[in-house]
Amino acid sequence: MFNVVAPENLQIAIDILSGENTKVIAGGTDLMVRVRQGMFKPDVLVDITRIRSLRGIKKTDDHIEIGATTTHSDILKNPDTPPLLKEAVSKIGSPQIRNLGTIGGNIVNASPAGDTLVPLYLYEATVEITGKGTKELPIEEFIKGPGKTVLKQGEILSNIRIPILKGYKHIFHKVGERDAMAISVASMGILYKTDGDILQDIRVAFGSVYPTVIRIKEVEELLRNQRISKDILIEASKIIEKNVKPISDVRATAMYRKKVAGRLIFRLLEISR
Amino acid sequence: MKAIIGKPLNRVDGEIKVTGRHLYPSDMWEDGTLLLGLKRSVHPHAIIKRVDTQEASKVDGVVRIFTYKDISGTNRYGVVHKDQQVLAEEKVRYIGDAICLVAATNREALKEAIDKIKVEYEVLPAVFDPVEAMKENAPKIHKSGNILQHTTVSYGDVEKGFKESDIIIEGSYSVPFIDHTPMETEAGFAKMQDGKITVWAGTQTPFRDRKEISKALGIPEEKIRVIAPFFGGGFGRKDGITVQIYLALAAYILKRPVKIYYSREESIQTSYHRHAAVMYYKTGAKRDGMLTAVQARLIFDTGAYASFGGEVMSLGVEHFAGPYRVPNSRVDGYAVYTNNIIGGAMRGFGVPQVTFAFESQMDKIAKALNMDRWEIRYKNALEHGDKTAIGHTLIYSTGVKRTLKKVRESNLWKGKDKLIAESTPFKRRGWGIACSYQGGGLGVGIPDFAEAKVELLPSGRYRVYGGISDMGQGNTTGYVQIASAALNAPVEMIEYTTPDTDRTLDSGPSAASRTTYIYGKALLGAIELLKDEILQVAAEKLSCPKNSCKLIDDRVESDKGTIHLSEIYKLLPEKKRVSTFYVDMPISKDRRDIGSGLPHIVYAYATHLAVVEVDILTGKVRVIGYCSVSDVGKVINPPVFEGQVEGAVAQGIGAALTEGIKLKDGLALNNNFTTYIVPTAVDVPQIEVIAVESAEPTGPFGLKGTGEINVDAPPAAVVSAIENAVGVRVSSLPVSPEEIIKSIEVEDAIP
Repeated sequence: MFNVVAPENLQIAIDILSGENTKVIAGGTDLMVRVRQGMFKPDVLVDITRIRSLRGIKKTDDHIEIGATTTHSDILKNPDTPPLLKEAVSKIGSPQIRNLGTIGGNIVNASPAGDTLVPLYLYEATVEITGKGTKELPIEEFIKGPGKTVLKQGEILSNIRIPILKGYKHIFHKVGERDAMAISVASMGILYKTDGDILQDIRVAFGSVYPTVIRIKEVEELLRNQRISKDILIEASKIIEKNVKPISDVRATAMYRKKVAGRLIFRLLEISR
Repeated sequence: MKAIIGKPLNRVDGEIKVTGRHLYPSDMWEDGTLLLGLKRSVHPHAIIKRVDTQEASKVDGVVRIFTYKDISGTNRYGVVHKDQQVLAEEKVRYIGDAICLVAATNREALKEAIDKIKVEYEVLPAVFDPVEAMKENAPKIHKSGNILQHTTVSYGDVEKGFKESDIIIEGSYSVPFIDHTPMETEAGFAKMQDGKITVWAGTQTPFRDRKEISKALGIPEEKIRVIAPFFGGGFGRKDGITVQIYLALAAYILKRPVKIYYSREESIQTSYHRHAAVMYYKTGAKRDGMLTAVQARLIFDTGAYASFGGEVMSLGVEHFAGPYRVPNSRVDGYAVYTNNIIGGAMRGFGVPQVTFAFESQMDKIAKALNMDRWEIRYKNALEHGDKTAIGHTLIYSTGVKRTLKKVRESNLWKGKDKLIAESTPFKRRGWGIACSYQGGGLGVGIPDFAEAKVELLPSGRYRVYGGISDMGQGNTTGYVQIASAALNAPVEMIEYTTPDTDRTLDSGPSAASRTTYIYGKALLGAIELLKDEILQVAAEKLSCPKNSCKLIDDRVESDKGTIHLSEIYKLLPEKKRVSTFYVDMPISKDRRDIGSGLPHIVYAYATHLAVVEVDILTGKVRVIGYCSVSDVGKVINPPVFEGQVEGAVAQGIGAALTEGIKLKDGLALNNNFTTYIVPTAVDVPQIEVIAVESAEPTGPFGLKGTGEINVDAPPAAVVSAIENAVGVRVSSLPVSPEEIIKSIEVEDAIP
């Protein structure tokens, strides 16, 4: 048994969270599953979804700012949401889960399979941490490993800032065991910009094939300023297989994840056709 | 009024369900109700050395902890073999065997107490592979040995058949344990009422349950009442004892209302499942595609207990070669004990397993002979009067050829080439076909009857006593429709009940595609008797010949006048206001000597067509088009029929692509809906549902039964389509994306 408090004031939430065995709940679509499984037994859950300042999407000249407790459904509805993020969020769970689940929750959960993380790594988003003060960190530095972040007791993730990239297109491919209500077995996101049939710029990241979401810069460098061809993608595919370190679990084997990650890059052939 | 047969009628249970007013077994509750839970074995095979409940019984809120010592009956149950213990005495045989039953006032106390019960075990060697378990030196799970049943059937001369063949195809196939995934897990409520133990449970077998409770607990049957309200799905999982005896035991001893419901994890680990199986086939054919011989060896893993293991395997034996003419055959079926989870009844009952195997064999023969997959099936398809592969004669409606013809008229058949032409380099499409048949009823030698009851009420309305459980399939609506037609009365005049051992009559299980067929048949008999009494009394009252009286809506009319049914009610002696009628299931005229419940005689038939898209980058398969044509006899209610087909096909697509319990040393690793992957609405395409209504002479209004037939063919049809799309033949379910991509080198596949 545990208590739930739902303050409307950020400072009060942070004060409560400084106490022992407290935990933030920001939608609960992952957290409650683990509480039910007995994976942790909090005394107090602090529901931060009533704190207005943590919710909503704002556009500035060069950034989109998303409050941590903005739900996936709200992100989908907003015209300012970056397109790759929108596509990735549309693959999360079901409408019911997207109505409850929040982007901040998805980030802090720090799952290698977190659907919002592939786009956030690719956009090079930063996150704002609020505790005794505020600080801002790149998403890659915020997440330390599976389920691990730099957040300390008494700190919350408050805001996400995504740089606006102009002229980029994207590919997102989530491989799950089915087409809805599925945790990704492997996923790939690509942001790219073309000049004629030349890839002027490209960023490539994978989910569920490494302890965190992983960007593979070696592949980006290989493909940048190149014409897409089967041969170069075969080379890229080999680099990907070399860089990923997937695990075997009840959903899929490590071998499958590695092979699929290597193969997904061939989707780039679609843009040249 | 017969016009209501074959017309849509809203489900009679629809309104109470969608408005939330219906109390499912897991909803029932009264003040003072105790919650029940079970301490279960954590080892797949072990001797129980000691059970210590001392610490646990001190937990605040715990009312009682029962062990087998509290049970004064046999402490045994099981449909055919009484090999399961209500609470384990000396030995556990799978992870989940119940050892103690705990009653507590709240969930937290219940959980804490279960955790605090200490069980000391002496762990025994275990066996998880049925082929290993058949060996001489395998650990013995039961004293009788690990082979629960061996059923063998021969027909013709199989060696001669192979000699006469131009081609022989061999293949081995495997399928995993499948979960039924009913929305409501095993659940129920019980209390003492009017001096009787009264149990409300999600059960397909209230009458059998009463016997099982009586024997296991040593309490006379007349002291026990079992009620089966509408419950949230069964599919065979609730064909027998799950929670009923625990409820009865606790209510009887504690004299308080008690309730139990399993978590999904507990349910998946401890319930009955569709049997895992390995199957070896050898099929011979002439150059023109005509089958000459089929031989098979089927090994069904029944897990730790018999349940329906022998019977399910035997149904696999009966249907092993498909709805085809096979002049020479031999089949050996084994149901084998292991320390795995329990295999039992599930929709299809042995037939889904063999359908996957025999239809894969048909495809392989077609391929080897360079024949069309439809044509080879049509050439060999059974017709009325033919003998089946086990040698009995089909004397009733036999519609497999009609389903094959009809599938060519479907929109999907006509549109499949266009769909397939839309393949892309990464997404390859193909089509597949499969046929199946499914015997209805329990088979030769097993009591298979129904006794219907119908009553004229004081208001002049009628009450149909539903004797067979409605787990959601809509049979109660079928009874109302049948009664409405036979009584020439609007459905508003027909009340219904669900089964209750004190009010309805034993009519056997809600199972084996028999429910509407046999109860409908008995109901028509009961209605004829009641009508006769009504018309007799009306004729006397109106002083006219009986045959000039007509039953119309709520009255009897004749030239001499009209009399309302409420008047008739007063004129009828009490006994005559109620009529009952008993019927037996028809059985085969020949080959009754086989035993093991073989053979059946009323069969449903189906042809399925699937179009799939295979992603060659990921190995993922999507079913993008599906058509089911089935011969189930007359369709009483088209939307209910369509629901049965769509549900069965979805379940079959699940079995093809994503479902299957992943076991590690007897433990289900995917024991909830995050990891046990059933298809969602986006994973199943719009299904084209076509009925071939070949009138069944023995059925009510020509009906046969539709509960199971459409669950058999989907895996074979999907696998056939995958081969058509990418040239990979899958022989083990569910289809593994990993296996598919291993077989397709992407560098070669991409232009």
